[in-house]
Amino acid sequence: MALNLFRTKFLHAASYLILSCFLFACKPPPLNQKNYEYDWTLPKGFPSPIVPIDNPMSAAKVALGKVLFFDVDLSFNQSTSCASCHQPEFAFSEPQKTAVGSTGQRHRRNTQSLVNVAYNSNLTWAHSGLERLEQQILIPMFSENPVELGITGHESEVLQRFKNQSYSKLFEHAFDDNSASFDRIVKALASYVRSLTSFASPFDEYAYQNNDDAMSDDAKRGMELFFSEKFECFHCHGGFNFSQSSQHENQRLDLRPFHNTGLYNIDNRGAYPVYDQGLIEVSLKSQDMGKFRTPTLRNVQVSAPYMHDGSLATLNDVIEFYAAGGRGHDKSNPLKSSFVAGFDLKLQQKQDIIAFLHSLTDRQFLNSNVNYPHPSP
Amino acid sequence: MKLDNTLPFRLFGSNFFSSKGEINAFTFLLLSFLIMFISSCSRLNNVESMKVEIWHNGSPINCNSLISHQQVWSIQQLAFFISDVKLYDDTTVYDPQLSSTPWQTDNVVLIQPDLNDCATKDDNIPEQNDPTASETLKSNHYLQFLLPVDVAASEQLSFTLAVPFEFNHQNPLLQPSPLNLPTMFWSWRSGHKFLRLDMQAPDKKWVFHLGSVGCTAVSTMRAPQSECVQPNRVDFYLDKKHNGTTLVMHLDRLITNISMQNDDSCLFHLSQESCTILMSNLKTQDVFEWH
Repeated sequence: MALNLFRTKFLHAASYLILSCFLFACKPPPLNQKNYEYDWTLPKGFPSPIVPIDNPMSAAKVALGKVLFFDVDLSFNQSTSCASCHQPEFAFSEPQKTAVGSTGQRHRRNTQSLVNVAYNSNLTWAHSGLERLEQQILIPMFSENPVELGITGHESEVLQRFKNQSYSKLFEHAFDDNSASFDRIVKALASYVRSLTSFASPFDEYAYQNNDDAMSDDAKRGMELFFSEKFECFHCHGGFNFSQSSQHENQRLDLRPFHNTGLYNIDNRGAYPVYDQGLIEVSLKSQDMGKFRTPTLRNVQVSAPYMHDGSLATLNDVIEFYAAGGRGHDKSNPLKSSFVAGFDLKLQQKQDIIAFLHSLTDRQFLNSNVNYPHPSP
Repeated sequence: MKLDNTLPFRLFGSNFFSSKGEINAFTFLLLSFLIMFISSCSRLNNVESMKVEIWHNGSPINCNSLISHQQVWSIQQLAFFISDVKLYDDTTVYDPQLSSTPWQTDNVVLIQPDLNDCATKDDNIPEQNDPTASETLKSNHYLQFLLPVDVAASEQLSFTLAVPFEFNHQNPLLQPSPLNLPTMFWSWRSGHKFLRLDMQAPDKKWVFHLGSVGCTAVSTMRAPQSECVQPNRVDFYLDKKHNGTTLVMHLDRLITNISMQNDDSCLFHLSQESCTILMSNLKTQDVFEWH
């Protein structure tokens, strides 16, 4: 009897063991990073950005984020919104060398365009570890040096401004809960900024929609120069976002999109000014001196001035800078990218390259937010 | 209600385990383990991947620094495409399929070895594995086969250092990874850089980008309809030197007879003499070996 009981138990165990082998042999379903409910309205063939699992896109979150983005109540002294520096008519950059925060403190760097920022593998000008908008947005909100929105030390006061009837409805739609929190504000802002995609330039029409007439002849000549090994532009400004640092649903490889352009060389060994030395400040690696992230060239026509410190005023200046292979005595910078070697440039070629850069302007995108009302809801 | 009645079959009981069922069950289990054991034994000589190593002057490069031409060089980027992999034994040619990963598609693999800064290389980082893990998205030094491959029985390995023409000039937006990497793409007309080697010494830089040239299309954003005048695809036929688990690239042999000055980089401009030498090196200097 005892033996029979043992056998029965053994068979139970063996049966469940076999069954569990089958069950565990099946792979779990892959983590879903796409949000099928949100319509990115991308042209056919363009891949969707990668979206964090804990902050999926939704129209309601984008709507809330848009209101927050333009609301000066997000700064401690109600003087400054995200849009004060990231102005829609300038492709969400601004026509100033460097940004100024809510206290009037000047930032050391130029305000970057937010066009297609959802595709960036790295964010800000020079930070190899900053990969998510949800992380990056904390900097303008809470940074104390420089002060941008200046929320630190005023958290309760600022948050209280978003606990009103109008915002409650927006939070309710976005999060199924009407209470405001900084976590939700950050997620909504990230969703809105992620939604700023721009792919309707004449170049897109020519390259991706096969419309041979979408670009002018001078822009087409400039395109040939841009993608040539003589001028080298595309080595850094490559890929569909002209930044070579794009990731999306079909491209998740980890890229390092940082380059030294030879903008400075103060000690003949490649050093940049101590107030801003680029990626080396984060990585502490000597070879990262003067390296900055390649920005997108989409809508570059309206995002002047240029470079990380806004030190080049026009596209003409930028092209002459690269033609010279660096600035002044900085041409001998040993840390400069191999692809900033300089080149001979005729006037017509320069005009053609500028015409090509102008063909990257997406008027539909630029016009879509220009008249957005700024006041709080 | 009994638990077993909730399942679509009975885990135990009269049908499967009748009076003689216990013996049948033991036999079933025994046979299952035997089959599993035999099938695993038959794969002892098979490999699921082949490692790629970068050597310089007869030794593997473990980080991104090497001495050549009286200079200390750092490798800014080294990456190359391999396609059309074949294995040969006495009588048969095998055409092993590569699995699909972020580094491999359509039997084309992008090799981009981990060449970290020498001072900061972390030996604790796992070498291989989950293709979605963050470390494996930074570098790749493996060919991963779809099914295990019997390298012990193979005597020769062949491959092409290139992206095949049919994949080389397509819209990168519609291409799967790694054929959508801008760092390895020139344009629709010229296609991909088959090999990219960017090197930097304290006071000079040297670059080699291999790819097709002489490609005819109405603009750089349109694909050629026929093969380029100089496809620059190099085929390698390698004899097995050891157990066949490692493909070695000899960097010193690739750059032999090159002065490594700023002005002898090879980007396949017109009249770049270094390109002629580098192409000759690829074809004659045993740049790759199968170990």
